Amino acid sequence: MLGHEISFSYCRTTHNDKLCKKIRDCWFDKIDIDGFLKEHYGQDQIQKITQPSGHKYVSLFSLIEQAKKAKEENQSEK
Amino acid sequence: MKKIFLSEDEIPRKWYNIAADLPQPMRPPLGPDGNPVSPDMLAPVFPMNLIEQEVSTERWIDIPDEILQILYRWRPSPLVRAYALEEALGTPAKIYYKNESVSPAGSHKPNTAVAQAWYNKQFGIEKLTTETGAGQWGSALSFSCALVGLECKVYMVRISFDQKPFRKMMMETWGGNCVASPSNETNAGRAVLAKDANTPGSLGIAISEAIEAAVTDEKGKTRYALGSVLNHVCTHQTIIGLEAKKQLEKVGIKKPDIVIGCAGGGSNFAGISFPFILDKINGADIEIIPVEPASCPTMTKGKFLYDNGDIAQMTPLLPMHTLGNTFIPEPIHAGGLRYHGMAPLVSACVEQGLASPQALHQLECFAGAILFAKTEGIIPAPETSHAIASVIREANKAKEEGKEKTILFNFSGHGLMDLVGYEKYLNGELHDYDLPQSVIDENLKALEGLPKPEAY
Repeated sequence: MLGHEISFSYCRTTHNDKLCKKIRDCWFDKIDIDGFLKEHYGQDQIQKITQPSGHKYVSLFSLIEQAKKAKEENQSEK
Repeated sequence: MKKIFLSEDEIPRKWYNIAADLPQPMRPPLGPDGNPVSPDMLAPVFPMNLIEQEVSTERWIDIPDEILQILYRWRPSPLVRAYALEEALGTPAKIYYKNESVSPAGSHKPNTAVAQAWYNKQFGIEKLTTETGAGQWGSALSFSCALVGLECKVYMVRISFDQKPFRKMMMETWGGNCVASPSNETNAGRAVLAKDANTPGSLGIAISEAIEAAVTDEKGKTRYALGSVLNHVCTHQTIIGLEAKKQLEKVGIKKPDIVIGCAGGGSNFAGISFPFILDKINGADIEIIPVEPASCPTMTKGKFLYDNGDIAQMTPLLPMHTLGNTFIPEPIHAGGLRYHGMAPLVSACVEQGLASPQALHQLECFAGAILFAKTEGIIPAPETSHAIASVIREANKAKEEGKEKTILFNFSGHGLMDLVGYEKYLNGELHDYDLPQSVIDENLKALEGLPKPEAY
C-alpha cells in the first residue's frame, strides 16, 4: 500500500499512537509479536486489533460523522 | 497469435455486477449501534449515481459512451499469449495475460478512476479528494480528473510523499494537487501534527483528511473517491475480464481452466475474475485463484489465526525469535497487497467456495517477476508478481500432470515506479520466513468452534 519499507515503530504508531490493526498479520512471521504486545500493551488495546475488520461502509460513515462534528465545533467557535 | 486485440467497437458496453448472481446475497453491515449501515448514509462523500451502483443488484450496468470515449485511449487492452514464459517453463499450459500496464497511469486503476470522475462530474461535483500511499491510485485519479474536467486533491502519506517523489510528480503533471498527509489543511491533519510534527503519517490519517475535505466543502461540490474495496469499484473493473472473454473466444477458447489475480483490496482480482465466476456459478469448471502475500495474509491462514484469536488463550502462539526490549526488527516492505480490507464481494466469493485463495512468499514472487521480465519483457509491479508466481506454480503443475491447461491472469501493472524492491531482491537483502505446517495446524485446531467472521 505504501510501496516502500516501513519500520516496526511505524506499525505501532500508525494513527495517533494507536496500533495498526494489521500489525499481527504483518509481523507474525518476523518476531514474537504477541509476546511484544502482551508486554507493552493493555488487554483492551490488544482486543481492538484482534476483532474482525469492520465493513468499509462503517469506517467511512464513522469518518463522515467525525468530520461533520469537527465542522460544527469550528462553526460554533466562530 | 501473440497478441489478441479487440477493435474499439468490440469493447464491452456493460459492466458485470456479481451481486446479482452470488448464491448467498450480501447482507448490509452493522454499525457500532447495531443498526445496518446502508450506502445511502455515505451520500456526503459519494454522488448518488455511484451509490445507486453500489447497491445495485442488476446483473449488467451500461457503460456510458462518454466513459468509453476516454477508455479508448488504451482500451481494449491486449490479451497476450506468454509464449516465451511457457517455453522457459517447458509447460504444456497456455498462459494468457491481460496487459493492464498499458494504461497511461500504468495499472488497472484508471478503469474505475475514469468512471468515478465521470459520474461525479455528471452529478455536478467540481472536485474529488482521495488518499494515496504509494501513489498508484492518486495518479490514476489525477489523470482521470484531468480528462473529465475536475479538480483533484490527493492526500499522500508523508512517508511515501518523501520516499516516492515520482508518483507525486505524475499527479502534478496531470494537474492533481498532491499534499503530504498529515497536512495543515484539515482538522484531522492539524490534530496529528500538533502531537508530533515529524509524524510519518498513515493511510488512516490520509483517509480522514480526504473525507473531511469532502464533507466540509461549504459549496457542497466536493466528493471523495476510493480506489478499491467497494462494490462499484469492483464492477467498473470487470471490463478487464469481459474483454478477456471475448479475446479468448477469438482464438477458440471457450473458457480458461484457471483464472488468477493478485488481491490487496480486491478490485483487480474482481476485474479479471468476476465474469468467469459467473460462468462458474452456471456450472463451468474453472479454478479461480486470488493471490495474497504470505507475510500479510487476509484471506488465507492469517485470517483464522489472527482475527478470531484470543492471544492469551493461544500462547505459545508461534515459535518465533525471542524479542528483547531493545530488539528492533528489520523493516518490512509494505507493498500494495498489504491492504487493510478486502472487497466484500471478493470475500463473499471466497466464503461461498467460488474462489480459492493462495498465499505466496515474496522471494518466490520476485523470482517469478524476474523470469517474466526476462522472457516477456515487462517488469511487473511487485503486486502483480504474486499473480505471476501463482501462474508459474499452476503451469508447473500442468507440466507434471501432462495437461494442456489454459491459464489466464491479470497483469495489473508495471513496476517501473517500484524498483527498490527489485534492487533489494537482486542484492539478496530480502528473506522469507515460513511457519511450519504443524504450527499452523495446531493453531487452526485451537480455533475450531470459534465463529467465522462475516467480512474479511
